Amino acid sequence: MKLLILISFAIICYSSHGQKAVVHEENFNFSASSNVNSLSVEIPYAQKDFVDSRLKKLLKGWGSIKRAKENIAR
Amino acid sequence: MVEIKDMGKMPFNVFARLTEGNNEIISVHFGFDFGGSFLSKREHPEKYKIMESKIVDFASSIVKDWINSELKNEEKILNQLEKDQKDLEILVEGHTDTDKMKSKSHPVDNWELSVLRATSVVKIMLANSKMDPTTVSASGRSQFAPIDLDNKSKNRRIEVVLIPKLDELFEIINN
Repeated sequence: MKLLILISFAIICYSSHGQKAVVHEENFNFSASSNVNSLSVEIPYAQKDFVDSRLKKLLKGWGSIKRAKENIAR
Repeated sequence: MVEIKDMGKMPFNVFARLTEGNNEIISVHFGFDFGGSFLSKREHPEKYKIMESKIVDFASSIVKDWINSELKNEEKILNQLEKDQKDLEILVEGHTDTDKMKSKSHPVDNWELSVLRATSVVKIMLANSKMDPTTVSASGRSQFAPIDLDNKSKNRRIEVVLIPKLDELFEIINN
């Protein structure tokens, strides 16, 4: 009965009742254009593959995608 | 070249790139090229507002879906434990980092934020499982139980604590 199990997992709830996603501007080097103004957002903890697949989906919704090295350019 | 609703009829190029920073944070960078001029708040305030909103929605939906997928994994464990351990109570604790809240509406401070964070998770857990709500409670510990003093993002978290039902324990002891 003295069992005490702690399951801990990190969660970032910034959609409801949490920190809101903040978009900020910064100079960024895309492979096609260097040192240009970008809109950037931070996504803590989520896995890169997960974010990458969602990003592709978002861009696909906007039109066709062309891959340029590590950039996804359209 | 793309055309996005609300952004006018002039098509433009979009660049996107992921970078991985310290503390397990992934940044997504978008560049919107209007033929040599990249979208900026100063030069394109209206268009900036539209794309800012789309990016916020995008980031929020990723986090929400990621939380749901993580919770589903946790639920499998919880459901198994619930079968094995009928004498457990489940406490969901919300935690925040040390950043001060700047909102005039709720949540006004980290105490409220941590409690709301915990209740949000409890609602998702109950909505996605057959857990008995009478065994679940939510609480908040604000910023005062950090797990890493050097990494604020790790302190924004939820802990699910499984506790033996103490009244049953006392009953056994008394008998």
